[in-house]
Amino acid sequence: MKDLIDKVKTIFADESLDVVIGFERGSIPLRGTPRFFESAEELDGLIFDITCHNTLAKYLASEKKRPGGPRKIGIIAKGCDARAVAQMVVEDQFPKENIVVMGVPCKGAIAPSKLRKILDGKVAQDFKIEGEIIVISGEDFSIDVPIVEVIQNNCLTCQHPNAPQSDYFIGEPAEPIPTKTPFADVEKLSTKTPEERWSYFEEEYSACIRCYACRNACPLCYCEECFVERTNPSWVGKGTDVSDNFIYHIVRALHLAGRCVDCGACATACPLDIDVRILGKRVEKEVLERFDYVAGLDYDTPPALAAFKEDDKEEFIM
Amino acid sequence: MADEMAEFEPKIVAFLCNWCSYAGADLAGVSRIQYPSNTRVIRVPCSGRVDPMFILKCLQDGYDGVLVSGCHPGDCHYISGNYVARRKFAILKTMLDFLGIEPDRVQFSWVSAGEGEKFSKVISRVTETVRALGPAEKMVKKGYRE
Amino acid sequence: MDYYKLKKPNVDEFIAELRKEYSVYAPVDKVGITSFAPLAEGQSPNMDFLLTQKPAKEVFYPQTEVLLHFEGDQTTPAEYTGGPIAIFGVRPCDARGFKIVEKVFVDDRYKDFYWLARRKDSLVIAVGCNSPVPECFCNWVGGGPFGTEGSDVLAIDTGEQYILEPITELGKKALSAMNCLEKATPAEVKAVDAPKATAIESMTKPPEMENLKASLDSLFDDPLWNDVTAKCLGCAVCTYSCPTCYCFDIQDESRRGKGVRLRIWDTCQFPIFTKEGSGHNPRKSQMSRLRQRYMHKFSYMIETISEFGCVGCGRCVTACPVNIDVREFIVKSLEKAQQKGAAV
Repeated sequence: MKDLIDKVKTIFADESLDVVIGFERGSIPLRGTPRFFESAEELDGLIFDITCHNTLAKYLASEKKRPGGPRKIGIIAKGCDARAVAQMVVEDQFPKENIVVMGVPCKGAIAPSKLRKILDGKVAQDFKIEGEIIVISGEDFSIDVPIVEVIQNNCLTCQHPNAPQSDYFIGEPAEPIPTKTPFADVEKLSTKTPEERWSYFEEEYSACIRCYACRNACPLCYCEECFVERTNPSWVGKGTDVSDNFIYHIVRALHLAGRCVDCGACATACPLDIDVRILGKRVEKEVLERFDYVAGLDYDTPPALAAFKEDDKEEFIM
Repeated sequence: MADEMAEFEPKIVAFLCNWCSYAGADLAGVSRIQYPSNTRVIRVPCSGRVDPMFILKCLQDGYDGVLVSGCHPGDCHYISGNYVARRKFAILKTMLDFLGIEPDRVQFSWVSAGEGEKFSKVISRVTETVRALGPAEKMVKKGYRE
Repeated sequence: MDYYKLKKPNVDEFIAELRKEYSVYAPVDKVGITSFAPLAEGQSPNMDFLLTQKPAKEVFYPQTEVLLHFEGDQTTPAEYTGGPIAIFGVRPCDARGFKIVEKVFVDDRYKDFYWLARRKDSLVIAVGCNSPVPECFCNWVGGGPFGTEGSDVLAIDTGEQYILEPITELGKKALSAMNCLEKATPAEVKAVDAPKATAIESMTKPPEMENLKASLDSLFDDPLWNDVTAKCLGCAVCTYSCPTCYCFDIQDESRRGKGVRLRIWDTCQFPIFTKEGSGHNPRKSQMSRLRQRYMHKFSYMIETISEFGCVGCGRCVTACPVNIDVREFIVKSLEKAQQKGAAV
């Protein structure tokens, strides 16, 4: 960690940064939490490890709206985080000159809900990584858990553990983890009958309490007024009728088509562990296959749904 | 059973772009071409105006089928509206199918101002396809009846 | 006082008997989460959990509730027709939450018809917490793992069985009428002392909560709020998980002259909560909204209902996507206020 801190402090000074958006130790065991470091002294608290799951690019949207304009920001960027930053820049939502991307190698991030299930009431105090195992220990226990069992689902299919574009890269680039092919879950659900798929979605979405944690955690959901807040006309009912829940999730996935970087913040933010990602994942697959586009890989390519080709496939048109 | 099906008249909404498809529908009309009358038409300036939310709202309201029809690619009155729409609709259709909603309930077509005959054929085809699917249920908001 | 005992294998029988008089709500697993739902005949509750993700108050105060149906000029009030409710397996924090929310919904002047329809004649059987987790802080806000406020019966797990302590007259009557229960012997009753002591001992000792309101009142314009709220996403997880939040919105939904009027949970964390018709928003920043939440719970509610609007259940701590920790906030504000006070 000292190496990371020293390097970031140097960059902080060299680039005359106003703030570094990074992580510090959280208040719950094995939990990193976002922190805005505004001085070299504060950077002594900087960490980056398997406990740092949040997508920091989220904070760029509000940073932009600061009175006086955005500050000069450094951001500790996992692969997905850096892609989110790039997508924000491509969509003209944040000036590139105000952000310094400090890529860090990511080997997966703990999903707090998975950790809770594994601990089953035990109170963890510390952890250490031993190859593919995370050793979690407490006052009177120590358990070995395969890392792939405790990290977020999106990490299991991650194709970009390292920032595709960065101003600095701190550490050795990580090897992708994938234990599954990128769209394995989508493909699995696709083998089910339409009725089975419908039942699956109905069960998941009927639990939704419309807290919008998924939307608010998403770096690419930056609209000042979201479609759910409209009341004249009202696009979607404000209550938790399952049909309204469907509309919310479908439209959000549509609005993120070709923009989602699968950082997993949505699924991890959900207090009820709803499978928030799967619909967007199907869209991501279609965008890749149909438009040969992956979000957030560079600062230039226009997003897929804001562009077109004259010979786009139209086999679905009557 | 056959009687029940024969009685079911699907309710279909068609979003027609003003410059091509709506004009094509008008042509079908003045040419006195007969076609099923199940479709309610909403005129839009361009197929690109059609937000997928319109289509979803129709399904939620209980419409059995939705058609969106615009100018042929290359002929859009606003140059590229239908190109952008084409990408949106491709994604929407994929998504509806993935959710388990019958894909044939939501259809897209290109009908030009001179294609009155084609328009009637498109409507006939959509109507019969949706009729065969029966009343829409999945996305319908059943509401808060006890 | 008569204590009763319920052997763990007999819980189903106990519930079957309850079902004769009540609609029984208990913790049920569905789609990977545990929440309070009506038990179907023969369905067993999941007693092996600490806290549901959603607050138990949703049994009396559903997230989406129909107030009335309308068609043209006609309105028909919606009525709760489910019969008296027994809620089995709530934690003392949730039970205390019922009492706090009720102070808002029912007082000398106003009685919330909809809350009362479900709440009246209800029987609350709480289960004490033998193993509080570090996120629990009920003991900071006047509660405890074996608190009795808000319940009619408190069940304490002594290993093989629950010892049932009647708290209210209703609880006493209900227990004495049950055929499947036996009275507990003095020795069996004594057996609750050990788990109780262990649980209470395991909890983090509270800071000086009696200074909290005054501290917060002195800190309203302090820059500490910027630090505390900087990472807040402005979602509704904390408010929708909270046993003592009660704000709601009323929405009419209609189609072609026919529709419903709904009451739905609302959250002070969304910008539109305070957005006015003119477009002006008195709480434009997320800082002001999160500050509002904490001021309301720890200062304003002392003025309105003479207690904190918090039962220390810890759900907001566990569920917050960015790990904003109300306990950290409490400690920080007490320290900051003391610093300032000392400086003066």
